Order: sequence, then C-alpha cells, then structure tokens
Amino acid sequence: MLKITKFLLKKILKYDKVMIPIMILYTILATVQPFIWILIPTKVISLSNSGDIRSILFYILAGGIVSIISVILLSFFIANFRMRANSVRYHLIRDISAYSLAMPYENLLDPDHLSKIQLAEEAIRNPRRGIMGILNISLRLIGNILASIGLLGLMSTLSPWIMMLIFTLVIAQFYFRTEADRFNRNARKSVSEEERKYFKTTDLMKDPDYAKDIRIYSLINIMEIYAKESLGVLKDIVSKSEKKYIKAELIESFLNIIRDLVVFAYISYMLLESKIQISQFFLYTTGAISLVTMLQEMLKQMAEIFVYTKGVRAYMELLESPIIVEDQDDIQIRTKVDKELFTIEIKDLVFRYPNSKENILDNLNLTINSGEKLALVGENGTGKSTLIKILCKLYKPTSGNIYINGVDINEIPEFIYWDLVGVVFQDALLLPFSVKENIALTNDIDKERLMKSIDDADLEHIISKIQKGVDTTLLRILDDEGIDLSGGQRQKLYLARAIYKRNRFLMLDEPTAALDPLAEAELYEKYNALSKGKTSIYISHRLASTKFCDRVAYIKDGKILEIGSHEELMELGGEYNKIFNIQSKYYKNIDEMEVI
Amino acid sequence: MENKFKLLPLFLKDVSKDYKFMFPLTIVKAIFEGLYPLINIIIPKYILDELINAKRIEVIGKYVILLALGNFIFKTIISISKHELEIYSRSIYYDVSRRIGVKASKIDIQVMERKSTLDLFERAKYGSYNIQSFVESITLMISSIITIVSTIGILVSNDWRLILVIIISNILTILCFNKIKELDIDFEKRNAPFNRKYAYFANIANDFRFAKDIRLYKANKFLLYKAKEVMDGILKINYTYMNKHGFFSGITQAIVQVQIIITFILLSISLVGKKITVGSFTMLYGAANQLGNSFKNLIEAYTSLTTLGYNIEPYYEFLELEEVENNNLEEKNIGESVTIEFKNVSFKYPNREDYVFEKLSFKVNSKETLAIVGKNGAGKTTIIKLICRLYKPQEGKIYINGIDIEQFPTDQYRKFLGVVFQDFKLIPSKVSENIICKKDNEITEIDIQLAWEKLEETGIKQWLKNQSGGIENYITKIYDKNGLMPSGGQEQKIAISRALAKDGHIIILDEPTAALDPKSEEEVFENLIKLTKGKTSLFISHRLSSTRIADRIIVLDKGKIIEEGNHETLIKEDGLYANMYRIQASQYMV
Repeated sequence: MLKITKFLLKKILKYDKVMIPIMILYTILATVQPFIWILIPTKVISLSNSGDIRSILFYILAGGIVSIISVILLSFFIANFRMRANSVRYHLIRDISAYSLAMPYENLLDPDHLSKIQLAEEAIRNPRRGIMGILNISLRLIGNILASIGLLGLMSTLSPWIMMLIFTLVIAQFYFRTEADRFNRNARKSVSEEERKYFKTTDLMKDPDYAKDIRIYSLINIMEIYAKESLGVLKDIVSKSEKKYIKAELIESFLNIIRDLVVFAYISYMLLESKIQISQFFLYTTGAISLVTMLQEMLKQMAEIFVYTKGVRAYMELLESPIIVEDQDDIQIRTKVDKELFTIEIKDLVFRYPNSKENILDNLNLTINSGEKLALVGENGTGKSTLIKILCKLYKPTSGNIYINGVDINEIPEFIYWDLVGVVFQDALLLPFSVKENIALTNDIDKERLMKSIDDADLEHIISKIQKGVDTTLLRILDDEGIDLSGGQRQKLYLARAIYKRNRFLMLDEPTAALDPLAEAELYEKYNALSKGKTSIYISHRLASTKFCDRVAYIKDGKILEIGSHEELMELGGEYNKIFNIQSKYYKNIDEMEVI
Repeated sequence: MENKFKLLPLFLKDVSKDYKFMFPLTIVKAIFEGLYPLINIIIPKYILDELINAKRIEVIGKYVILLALGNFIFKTIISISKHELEIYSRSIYYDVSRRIGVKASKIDIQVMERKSTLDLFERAKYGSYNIQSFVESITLMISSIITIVSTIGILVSNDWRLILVIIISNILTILCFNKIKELDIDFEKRNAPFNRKYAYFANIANDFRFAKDIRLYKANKFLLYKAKEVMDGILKINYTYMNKHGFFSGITQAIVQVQIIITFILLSISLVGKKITVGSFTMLYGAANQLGNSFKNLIEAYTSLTTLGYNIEPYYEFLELEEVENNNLEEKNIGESVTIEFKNVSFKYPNREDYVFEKLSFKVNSKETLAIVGKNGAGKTTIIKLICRLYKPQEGKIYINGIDIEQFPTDQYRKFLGVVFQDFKLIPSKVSENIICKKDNEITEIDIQLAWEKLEETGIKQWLKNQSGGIENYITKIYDKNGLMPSGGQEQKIAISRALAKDGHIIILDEPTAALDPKSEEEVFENLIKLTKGKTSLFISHRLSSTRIADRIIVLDKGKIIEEGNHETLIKEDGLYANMYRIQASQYMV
C-alpha cells in the first residue's frame, strides 16, 4: 500500500506537480465543510429560547458564506484534480506502451506475462476504475478520515464509551466486509482471465481482417458460443461475489440495530437527566449519524481502492521489469562486432518454446562466413523462422552458443546488435502513417537516405503515382484518405525499410511469397545487388532463389541435414536435390520454349 | 438532444427482454431507497418532542426501537436488491460488446473497413463503460424523485414559503446542469477520435505481429513520438473542458447552499417565534437538507442518463447499419453443375478514382479449373471478393448458372463457396472447430473423420497427430495456454482443409501455396485436380508451373483480360504469360 502511494506520488510529481497543493487544499476544505451544518443549527437551537434573532441570523449567514465559498472551491478543485489525474493517466498509458515496446520479445510468448500486461492495462485504460479510481477515491478518503477524526473527538465529549462503541461496531462491520472483499479480489484474477478471452472474441468479431472468413465460413456462430461460454463463467463469478457482499451487509445492518438503540437511548437518557441540553441532543445525534455514514463510506472507499491495487501492482511490477535498455553503449564490444567482416558461428543450438517438450532446433551447428549469402531451405515448421528470430536476438537459445565475430551473442547488448542487422519478415506489417515514416520508422528522417532506399528498392514508380508522394498516408485506420498497397508493393516497401536502416547482416524471410513472377525476378536481382559482399541469410520456398546464394543449408527436424553450394547439393542427390526437382520439373521444357 | 434521451426507454426495453426481473427489482430498490432517509428525519422529531414534553420512557423506547428496526429492514432490502442488480449491470455491459461483434459480422465489409465505422466501434466501446451505470442511474433517479416528493410534502405541510425557495433554486440548478451536460457531450465528441487513435497506439505496443519489427528497427521511440502527438491533443481538450466543468458544478453547489441558508433562516424565525417545536425544527431542517441532497442526486442521475443516452447512441447507430445478409429471398435450385459468369462488371474501391476493372466479362464453365494470372495489383483478388459477394460491383452483374448472385439468399449462397483468401484467418478455437466450422458439441464423429481426411489431403495430418491432443488442440494460446502455434505454412494447410471440408460447389484459392514448402506445394497442386473434382474452381497463383494443371488460364493486366487459353496455347502466343513463365523457369536452369 505504502509502495503504491509512493509510486503514485512520484508519478504525480513527475507529470503534474500542481495536483499536490490542490489535494491539500481540497482535503482541508472537505474536512471543515461537514461541521458547518452541524455546528450552526446547534447554535441556533441553543439561542432560540433567548429570542435573539439578530445573533441567529448572523450565525446562519456567516456559516452560509463560508459554506458557499467552500463548495465552490471544492467543486473547482475536484474538477481540476480529475482533469489532472486524467492527464497523468494518459502519461501512464504511454509509459506502459513504452515498456511493452521495449520489453524482451520472449515475454510475448509467456501467457502469464501477457495477463499481467492485461491487468496493468485495465488499471489505466478505464477512466473510472483502476488508477483513476484510486486517485479520485483517495482524495475523498483523506477528507473523510480527517473529518471523522473530528467527529470522533466530538462524540468523545458526549462519552468516550459511545465513541468507542461506534468505532468498534464499524471495525467489526469492516471485518465482515473484508471477507467478501478478499473473495472478490481472488475472483478478480479469474474474472480478468475470462474477460480477456471474452473481449478478445468480441474484438475478433469486429476485426476487419477477420471479416471475410467470418462471413464465408459463418464463424460468427462458433465465436458467439465461445463468448457466451465466457459470459456464463463471468456471471457465475460475479454472482458468487455479490452473494458474499449481501451476507456481509446483512451482518452490517444487524450491528447497526445495536448502534441505533444504544446511541439514541444514551443521548435520550442524558437529556432526560438534564446532563445535556436540547441543542446538544441535536449536535450528538447528527454527529453520530454523520460519523457512522462517514466511517462506512471510508471503509467502502478503502475496500474499493484495495480492489484496484492489484492492477496497479501489476503495472508497477511491469515498469520495474527488465527492458532492452538503449543508452548503455559498450564501445569495446561494439568495436569487436561492428566490422566490415561479419562472421556467424552457431554451436549446438537448441531451442524449444517454454512449456514445450518438442525441440524446434535440435543441436544445430552452422558457420556463416563473412560476406557469404546463405539460403535456408526446408519444409514448413522445421524451424527456419525460429532460427532467424534467434539470430535477431528476439529469442534466447535454450542451450548452445552463437558467436558474432567471435563474441558470444548473449554478451552483445540488443541495442548494439540491432544496429547491425537488417531483416524483412514474412509477416511484416504496415503502420498507418505516411510512406516515408513507414520506411524510416523514425520522426527524424534523413532525406538522402530515404531517397536512396526508395531508389534501391524500386519504389519510385509506385510513389510517383500516388497523390502526395512519400507523404501519402498508408491504410485507412487513422486517415480516411489513406491508401493500401498490394502485396508486391508492400514487399518493396519492407525492403526499402531494411535498406534505410544501416546493417552489416541481412536476413530475408520469404519476401517474395506474394509476388508475381516478374516482381519476384526483379526482387531477386535487387536482393542480389544489395547483399553484395554482405553476410546474409535468405529463406524462401522458391528454390530458384538459391541460385544466387553461395551456399544452401537444408534444415530438417531442427538440424542441418545438407549444406553446400547448389551444385554440390544437387550432386549429393539428397533431400535438396529431390525438392529442387519437384519444383523445377514443370519448367523443364524451357528449351522447347526457346525454339519458339 | 431530446431524441437521444429517447433511446433509453428503447434500451430498457431491449435489456428487459433478456433480464425480466431487472426492472421490477429496480423499482423495489428505488422505493426503499427513496423512503429510507425519511426514517431518520421523522422519527427523531417524535423522540425529541417526547423528551422535551411528556417524557414517557416507554414511548421514547418504542420510537428508538422503531427507528432501529426500520433502518435494519430498509437497509437489508436495499442491500439485497443492489447486489442482484449489480449482476445485471455487469451482464448488460458484457452483452453490448457481443451484440456489436455479432452485428459487425452481418454488415457490408466495405462499410466495416471505413474509418468512420471504426470510430463508431470505438465510441460504442467507450460508451459501454458507462452502460454499467445504467441500472444504478435509473434507480437513483426514481429513488430521488420519491424522496423529493415526500420531503416536499413534509416541508409544505409546515411552511408553504419553503416550496417557493425550492422551486426557484432548482430551476437555476437545472439550467446549470444543462450547461454541464452540453459540455460533456461536446467533450465526448471531440475526444472520441483522439481516444481511438491513442488506443490504437496502446494496442500496437502489445501486438506481437508488430513486435519483431519494432524491436529490430528500434521503432519504439518513433511510435511513442506519434502517440505523444495524439496525447497532447487529448490533454488540450481535457484541460479546457474540465475547468469549465468545475466552474459550473461549483455554481450549482452554491445555489443548493443558498437554498439551505434561506430555508434555515425561515425555520429559525418560526422556531424563535414558537410557531414550531424544536423537534419539528430539526425534522424540517433535516428534510430541507435531504431535499437539497436528493435534488443533487436527481440531477446527477439525470446527467448520467443523458450522457448514457448519448453514449448508447453510437451503439444503436451501429445496430441500425444495414445488414447485407438477406435470407428472405427464395432458395434457388442450381443442381450439380455450376457456372460463374461476369458480365460487364466494373468495380472501384471507395475513395479511389481509378477502376480496378471496367466492363470485365468472362465465364468459368461447370467443373472447370480456371487459373487467374497477372501482375500484383492487376485485380485478381478483387474478382474473388466480388464472387464472394463481399464487394458489390458498381456496374454489371455476376451470374451463377445464369442467376444473378444477388438473388440468392445469403446463407444458401455462402454454402456454395469454399474459399482460401490470401490473408485468410483462423480463429483461436480448436482445430476441429476451425475445419468443420461448428462448435465442438455439434461436431459428429463423421465430421471428425472428414476433417482428418482433409487434413491428410493437405498433408498436415501427421504433424497434428504428433501433437498430444491432435485435432482437439486450440490454435494460438488465446483460449488455451497449451494451444498450438502453427507456422504460416501449417496455418495455410489448415485453411485449405477448411475450404475443402465445406464441400461447396465452388472452390476458390487465392495463392494457396504462398507459404508452403516445395513438397507441400507439389502435393497441393497434384491433389488440386483430385480435390476439386466435380467442382467449379478458380485459383490465383504466381507459380506458373502450377497453372499447367488448370483447364484454362486467363491473364489479367490492368483490369483487362489480355490472354486466355491453356498453358500450351499461351506459351505459343508468346505474350505476358509466356514471358512470366520464361523468367520463372530460367531461374531453375542453373
């Protein structure tokens, strides 16, 4: 609790300092305000017998003016506070995005980590609950705490015993409520797990990418059943937790009978015995009722805050989790690694997904010489893309080592390493920004480099055709005027991305899968030219691409089965030979074509 | 403004259909909540008067017990109904996003891809947060009316001047609240597009599809920079709005205070003039205070309900979007042989000047395998979307067996089609459910056999058999921690199995082997003839070795059919097809 308070105060100080004086002023006014309309009537009743109407009016007006000023200020402060809290929230959303963008890629494979992110996101996305809930409630809570201390003091002037009784009863009620709260908190985890499934399902229902398949295959029926199943679970948990609250509140109401009886009996007795005056009767009954209301409200507020702490804790934990740091440069390693020569040595590499027994890569050994072009070939699911991800330092090997220019890859900070690799992934994506931003992926664009990469990737003739050239927005997600690119155009843009980025080591994962033959041939040539003298890896199911690679590695079951130049492997007559023949046999009659 | 408020009864009616007890329970809770404050206002008066005058202990005792029991009974009923209603509130909140999802699956795809529709999704989603407070606000509204009416009754029976004070002050308050409400709605309108953009950034951050490139290209700083631009926009709106909001709510509160002060003065004068007892004074004072509070509550409930009315507007606006599904048409008998014919079809995408194709005509004969070949962007995929009735041509008609495809009921029409889109998607449910397209409890033994058969035909049976759980495995880890993470090629095989298992009259494959290794590609194409036997089929492929198996090939360039024939004749014609083939083939000649 203390940690969360400290954390929130730190964030407030960082993003909006003015919130602190507002909180203090609000608290003072909120403490004083409830007393005005308890004390003034008491005074009026005590003066009523004297008939001194002028003093009465004076007290009422004086109290009234104070009260008016304080409510105006309170409203103003609370609105201001909410606004500021909300802007802090937007900053916090950005902070968690910054974390997600820089956390180790492997975290995305860990469902527990993903639920933690979900929990943290919930804590900041909702404008009423989570962190906003804590901030708004705690503001009122502090005022309530101070005011109830005052009221407790007031009641103790009647009788410390009565004060103690009220206090004890409220604590007892709190005790019974915490049981329900505890249940609710524990249920929260399964609720958020199930909500994740539920909202993921309903999000997919309206995801434009899924729209075609949903329609053609009537997938909505299955999805709706899944949603309804989750809903059933959710309703069940919610109703169980609400039942606990009903039980707690029944006990609460029962304890209130005792309170009402004792307090009223005691005050009446005091009045009958003339130990207090009529005005005091008013003072103490009103005081007692206010105190009880306030204490109960306080406890509810605390309980509510408690519910939200889980998300905030997840949020805090995430922000403290390791991320890929960007500002530690290791000159020594950089000079060792960042060289014209770029050799990669893979030794006994094993990889399997967490919680899985199946080795995707199984004792793989491979050396890629500097300036060598290597083609990776193999059936679907043999681990080619996984190897690329490991060579990108996105996945950590389960065991085994990789040396880059003799330096263990684990010792090279990502931040340095990523300066050296250029990759085009099979499932690369466009962002809904301008063409140039999609290429440079930075807001600080180097014009010359941009033009060169557009040139090299042969994007020029596409860009010249669109109205705003490189400033044209892609996709219609953020801009209705945005345009979409065809598969081939996209691939060229991704290639331009890789060119714009400086790199010593190029990896292309199936870049031509969606291209027409002309574009494909063109891209092969581009690639051939671009990777001249550069260490590079090329994955493709189009075996023609192996022709311009220096060596071909055929992967099977997570191991390298055959390796050598295209000719050598054809000579060998193994698996590679077999699949190359499968693919090329239909092209064999090219000679008769030449005759035509 | 007014008609937005009218959506609420409609919403209440909709909700009551699913939750019959919700509204009666709301009324019960409102009545008890409305009368509850009166116990603590009225009974103390009698205690006090008795204490001052007759001082009968047993009478005082009776009142005190009445007070305590009254509180207990009322509180208990309120508590039970409150928590029951909470369950309804949650359910309503969940239901909204499901309804939106289901509706989304029935509207025109082109409408769905529009930014304005995406904005509507976001507004409807944002609105759903507030929908949780729907039940609460209705209850608060009714209960405050009950309290107000009864406290006014108490006040007026003692001093008619009080009613005047109350009426005047409340007219003023309502004026202020109207202003606040206007601010709220204005804020919402200006904020929604920003919020959607901001949410988009937050979503990208957690989307593993973007994660690789973001890291390797160090694009995180850039994305945060873009997000900050949006955030600054939000904060600007936020600041101007909230200060105004604070000002007007301050004024409103001040008016309530003035009302209390005047009431108080009037009561004090009566008390000093001995026109009322001390008991009545405290009661009336309590009533006046309560009245102020209840008015505050009423206005709060009213504001919350109008905001809600505004918030559910995008929801209803969305629900009212035209559904493209039309099952009222009569089912047509088309028999076993199926032809597809394009007659002068013209199509362009919204917001685009240029036509993808103009006056395109061609025919796919019954049981024929037709391949469409052409450069990227030639309009091949668009043809498929048009056949699938996902897009409507601006001009011309498409016929199945001579019947305009628009004349088929949607459900019947979709049964004809087994399609693998280039960017096909599998849902995160079980493999079997993905292939059979039914929930597992509706899947029969025969279905499972069929699924395995198709998985074998696409060459992925063995892999799946090796996974413990086999066909019952979930795809991805969204529904199940142990879900499979198939590679792109494996997913494509499952998608082809799904298309084949559907057993429609027409098979359409858009680059069915793009992600497949050579062996699988060979298998798929070798099998294609077998798989599509007796079916009219159409496929797009850039692998010109595969197009040989097609009965007929059409070559599309810039929206026009420039060549047509089988592989041999097209090679002889020595046009674009032959050129593309030659280039591809030369790569295999070492």
